[in-house]
Amino acid sequence: MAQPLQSINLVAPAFQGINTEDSPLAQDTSFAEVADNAIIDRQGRLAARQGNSVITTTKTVLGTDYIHNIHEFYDSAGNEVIFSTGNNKIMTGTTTLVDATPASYTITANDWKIVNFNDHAYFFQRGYEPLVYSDTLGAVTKMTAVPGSSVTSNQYCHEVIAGFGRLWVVGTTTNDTIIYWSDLLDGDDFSGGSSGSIDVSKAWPDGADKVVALAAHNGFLVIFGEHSILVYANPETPASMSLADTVSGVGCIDRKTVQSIGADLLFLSDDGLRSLGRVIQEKSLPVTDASRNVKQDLIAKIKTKTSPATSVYSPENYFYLLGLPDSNLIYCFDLRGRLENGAFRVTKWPSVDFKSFARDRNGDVYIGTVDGIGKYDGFDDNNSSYIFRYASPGLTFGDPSKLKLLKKIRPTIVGGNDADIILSWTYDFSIQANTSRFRVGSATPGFYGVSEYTAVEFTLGDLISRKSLNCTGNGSVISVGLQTEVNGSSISLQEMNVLALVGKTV
Amino acid sequence: MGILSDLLGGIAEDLYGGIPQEVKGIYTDELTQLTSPDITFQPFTVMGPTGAQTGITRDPLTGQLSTQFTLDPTELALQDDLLAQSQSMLTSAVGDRSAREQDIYDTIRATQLGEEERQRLALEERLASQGRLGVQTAMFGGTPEQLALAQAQEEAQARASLAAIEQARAEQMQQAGLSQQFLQQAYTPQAAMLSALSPALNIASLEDVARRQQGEFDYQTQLANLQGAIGQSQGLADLYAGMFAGAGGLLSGLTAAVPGTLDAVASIKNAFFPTPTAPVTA
Repeated sequence: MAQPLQSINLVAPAFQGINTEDSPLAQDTSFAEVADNAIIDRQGRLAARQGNSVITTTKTVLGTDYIHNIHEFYDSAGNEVIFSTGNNKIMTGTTTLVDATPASYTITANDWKIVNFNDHAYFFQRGYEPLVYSDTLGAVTKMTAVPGSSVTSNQYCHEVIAGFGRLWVVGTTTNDTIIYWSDLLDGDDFSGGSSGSIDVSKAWPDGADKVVALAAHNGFLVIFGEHSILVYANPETPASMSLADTVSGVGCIDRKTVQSIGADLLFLSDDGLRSLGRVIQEKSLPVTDASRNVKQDLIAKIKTKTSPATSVYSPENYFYLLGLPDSNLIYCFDLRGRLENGAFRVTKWPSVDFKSFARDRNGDVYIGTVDGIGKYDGFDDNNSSYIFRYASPGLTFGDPSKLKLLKKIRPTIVGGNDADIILSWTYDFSIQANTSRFRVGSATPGFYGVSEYTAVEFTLGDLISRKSLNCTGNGSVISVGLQTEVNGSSISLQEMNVLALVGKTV
Repeated sequence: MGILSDLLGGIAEDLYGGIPQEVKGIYTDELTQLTSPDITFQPFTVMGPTGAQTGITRDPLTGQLSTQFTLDPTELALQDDLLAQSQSMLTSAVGDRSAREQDIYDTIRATQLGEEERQRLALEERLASQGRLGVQTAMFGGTPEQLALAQAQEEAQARASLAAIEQARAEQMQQAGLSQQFLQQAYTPQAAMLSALSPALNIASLEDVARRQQGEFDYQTQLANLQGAIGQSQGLADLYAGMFAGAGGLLSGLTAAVPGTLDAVASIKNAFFPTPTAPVTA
């Protein structure tokens, strides 16, 4: 007697992102085992990320190095300069990189942090005299050369933030616990006015730590140690600010991973991405594990990390990108909302050479690579394709003890434009997968506001492909997947319907 | 010489030879010398009830009078002590106040340091609980609270310093007053001794007047006695003068009759009236 086909309809598969922490058998099908070079798009679908549209054409100054840091300077008069660092130089410009390193100023490292403050840009790196740029100065200038400045080697710091009307710096070659703040609205005066310092070495909840990063959040000065966090209230009057809260056991391991996303403060801890919540009514600031679903994988990457991590928050794209240049890996955390366990939906961008990020006031996300400066735009990486890949968790059709005979897979794919799609399925967690290839239709959608009205042919919308593929083999647990080469066109996975015949008990 | 002269001569010699020795002594004995009574000042000593003595003595060689004031050993010791105290107080009163000011300041501060230390520790604990132990500011040095505490302590130190100066100055004034008082009191035994001398001087003066009057009386008595003796001798002399005048008349008749009688008379006369001696002076 013929058995009826059972269907598992994976609607918006992987819209909850990757989950490598829970058991594959018990997982919700809305999770993914693999979601490479993917994002959660505006419709909540798993979609291919955008690429790196390199805008630099002349990068002689950069040499063979890559862009370590990108920063947009702007002032109240509307002046704007894009600064970047690399090849032991400070550069300006995007299409043509111009060396802006001050004369007689030798740089041997590229781990700068640059902040805007009161119509000035301030450059800080451990052991280096801070640099200043303003439209008035007209060039990147050593801080000691700025009229009225007052700075010593105590301020040759690694971490800097602008907040509460001052610059806050910490982390010299000899001290990582004394935080210096500048005079009010004067970022280059660290000895006069209301400037000062605080040694937090006696305030750590665990007895000892060193300051890695600073943040201004929710009216508090948040001081990130490697393994603990200090929260100071009333930093508007630094001389009177006081400890409001401490967090023990959680710290920040990289200053460039700290991003304020409005309600939360994200930072990379040694156990993954963490968020410091904003609580107005309550005293404490809750710390949540934002990378709960990829925790072990991320920790493994963190342990092998030797270069500084990088990050960017893009409210326009709803994501926080965590870059691990050592691993050529980007974790993309979708910030639309949290999952039940408090984690953000996460996808991975493997095998990318994105070394640095920055977001400008217009919402453009800049990407620093060996090719110079690019923008998060288009669907290729500097004219090279990349692989969009999805793999589902194990599917048991409600009964893992029975044999399943996979009959059909019917993916609904949006976009693609003549892309080859490779569907794959495996049984019982086998490494060896069965595959089937098909090609979606050819269409280049033109959207108002995305492509130029006269340059692209008008279309009715995205190309939607529904293809039913016959499958073979059997097993108790089925995993299905899809991958395609993204080379100029967007593609997203709307739905995947899996039909299987349930057989005998194994 | 003739027989008459011999006769007269013999008579006169007999007469003269027959004069009693008492009469002869009137002319031959030395006159009684009057001696003035001793009415010179007599040294004396006054001893007070506490044993203090005031003695007036005369130098036996020069005759110079001198006065000795001798306090009782207890009084003397007290006087020495008071003088020493007075000198000490005076030295302190006019000396450098800085050391004393420092002592007073240290004493005042010692009373404040405990509370200041408690306040410092309390602030330290408060700052530690607020994570602000390591705050250094250009405006306040440390935290505003630390500045306030430091200011309070500085003010306390300033007040202590001023109080020490005022106290040292007051003490110097007090020492000056005490020095004066000690000095005055040091001479109190002497004053008492001199006070005791005053009535003694009156008594001595009375005694001196009495002695001088007594001397005068003694002198007048001696003078009266001398005058009486002189009168007595004068009477005796007159007696013998009469006798010799008779004899002389006799002789005058004889000399007129017998040459050489005058010489005999002259001899008789010399016998009765020898050359007078120098007067006696007192």
